[in-house]
Amino acid sequence: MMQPPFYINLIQISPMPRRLLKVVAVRFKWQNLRQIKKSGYKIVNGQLQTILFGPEIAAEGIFPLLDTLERDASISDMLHVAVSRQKSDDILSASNYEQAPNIGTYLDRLINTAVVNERLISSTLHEFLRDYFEVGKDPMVPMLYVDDNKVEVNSIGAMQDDRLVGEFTLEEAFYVRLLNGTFHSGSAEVEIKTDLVKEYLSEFVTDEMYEESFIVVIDKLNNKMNRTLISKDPLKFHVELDVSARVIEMNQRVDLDIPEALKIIEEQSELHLKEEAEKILKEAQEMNSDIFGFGQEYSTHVRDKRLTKEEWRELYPDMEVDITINLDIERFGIIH
Amino acid sequence: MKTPLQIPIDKKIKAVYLLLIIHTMQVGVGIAGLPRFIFAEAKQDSWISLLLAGIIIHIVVAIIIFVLRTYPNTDLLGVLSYCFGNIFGKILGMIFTFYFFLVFLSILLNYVEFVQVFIFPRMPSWFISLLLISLVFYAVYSGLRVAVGTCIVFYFATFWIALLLIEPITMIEFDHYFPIFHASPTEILEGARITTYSLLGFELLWLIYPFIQDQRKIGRYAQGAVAITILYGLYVVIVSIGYFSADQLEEKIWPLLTMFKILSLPMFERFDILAVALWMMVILPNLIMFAWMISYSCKRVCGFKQKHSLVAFLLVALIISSIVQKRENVNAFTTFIGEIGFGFGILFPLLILPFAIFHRWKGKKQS
Repeated sequence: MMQPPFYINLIQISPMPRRLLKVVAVRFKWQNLRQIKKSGYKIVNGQLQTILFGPEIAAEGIFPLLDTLERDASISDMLHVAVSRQKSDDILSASNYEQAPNIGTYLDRLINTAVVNERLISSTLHEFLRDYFEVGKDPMVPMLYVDDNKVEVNSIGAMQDDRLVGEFTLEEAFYVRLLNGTFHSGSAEVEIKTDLVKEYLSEFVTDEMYEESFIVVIDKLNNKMNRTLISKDPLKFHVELDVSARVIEMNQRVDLDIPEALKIIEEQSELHLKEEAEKILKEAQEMNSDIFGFGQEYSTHVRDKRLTKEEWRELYPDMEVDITINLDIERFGIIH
Repeated sequence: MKTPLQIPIDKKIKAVYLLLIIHTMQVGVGIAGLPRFIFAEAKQDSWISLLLAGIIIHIVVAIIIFVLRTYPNTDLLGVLSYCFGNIFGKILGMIFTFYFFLVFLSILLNYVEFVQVFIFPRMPSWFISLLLISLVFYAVYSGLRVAVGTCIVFYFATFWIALLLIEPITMIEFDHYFPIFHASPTEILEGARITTYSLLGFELLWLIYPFIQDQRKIGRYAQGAVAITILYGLYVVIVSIGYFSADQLEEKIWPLLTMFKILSLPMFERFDILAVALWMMVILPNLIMFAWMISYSCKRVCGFKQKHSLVAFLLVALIISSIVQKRENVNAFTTFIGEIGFGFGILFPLLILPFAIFHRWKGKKQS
């Protein structure tokens, strides 16, 4: 009787695994699986869901390793490309993977739910390669980290072509998404000086509770982005963001029914979002990784010849961007 | 051969069927690679090339119908012998038959390759060909009406595949279409020329014309079929340009099939496998109609019995398809068919047009 096939749902590529030498990894085509027969099952790769790169390989460039995945028609374009912050062996030997049958399925679920909830930007094989080939756009990948024997996603990696050049925490990733265009969910924390809304504080707030500043958490954001090229020389973009949101948490009671109070909160939040977004943009420019796709936009305005990657790498770090954010707080829960 | 053909009424078909037959004949293996071919030439302006090719094909179809109407109820071989005399007409007829055979072969080889790349890497070519060829034999053996009926059934069995592109459509990047009008006129023309291979198939008109019951209506249905094909092609090309980035699109051999790779349903994880299998039903009408054309023109030119020539050439096709294996050869062959197809499909009607005009003018003078 034929044995049921055993689906590989994860492959690991790391320069320092126990069995796989780096040279082998580069010329690899499931070699570690083909060289050694380690399973009583027939092994097929149609269900591959995640490909995990160790940090050293990611820093060197992963495109050569993706060739086999792209070439092989039996591999789905929907598999996740991920990078680990530690050795990928550590990730795979984490023993706590909730109710998933194995670590591979757990990683797939971990990334999938984060993408569906818009905590991460999806980086499937197709999307990774699309951005890699695109002139003026760089891919992003989820970064996995093992803590207390459990794998978590705690940042996103910014690539320059296929090399990992930097990372943003998940909180910063929110601003990356903000500059990247439309999304429908997310949340941000904004710190506001209490003095600004002093007169609108509700009467419950006693002097002991009074603090210099307080935190507002806004959530369920909708974002509409309008990106326009203002001038080519010097290179300057204008990004206009229309964001609508609701307040879900404030650690000082401010009477939001008063339009002026709401206005101040909106203005302060806009300011905060703008500062953060500018900071993230600066960092990405320093890494010279255009994860926002400004170059893609720029290339649609270049008529005489096609923009090349090298040209854009020269232009990108000195690009100037004006950001305007219009925040609209639509709701603030069942209390005011 | 000059005598008007007498086709019994029970062998004739209604003109309305042309709407689907010509459309299914034009859509086949070609469209799977079409976005890459055009994109390599005209980049993001590919859709302009395609529209241009569409206009050209509309004109060519109009010319074919004009030529056929000039002579009394005859087909390509009758037209050839009117224009070039009996002997040359026969030779040209044989060349045409051979060309149809090459097209048939290129469709077969390309589909065999789809199956081997996507689903069964180790399945021998002859086996896949045998399965297809036996179906083709079955459909054509029983005559034109059965062949046409099969095409109609397969059309309705597969037209919904186009709707599967809804998933790639949600992932379109609009920046990919700009700047518009970037390609030079030569690039656009070259793109239009390359498109023709994917849109060949309207040559069927040359042979099926005497079999049409209401010949008055032939124009509107044939043109309608071409229009549907062009819209379909535009749809596929526009989605692929938006979905892939430029260099990525150029490295995909069959962009259309690759786009199916992101489809995944809970109970059907890998929809692309099914899509390739279903593609068989898209190409079967092509194979069936070409097989009919080949066997029928063999009968007209050489007087062989249609059934005998059908068996003979299907066997030859089977043998050839089991010999040709390499991607490189299939690719070179397909490109070659594209080149000569341009001549037979597009240039030939233009060449024959003056003869028809002359014939009409002469006829008018005599009466």
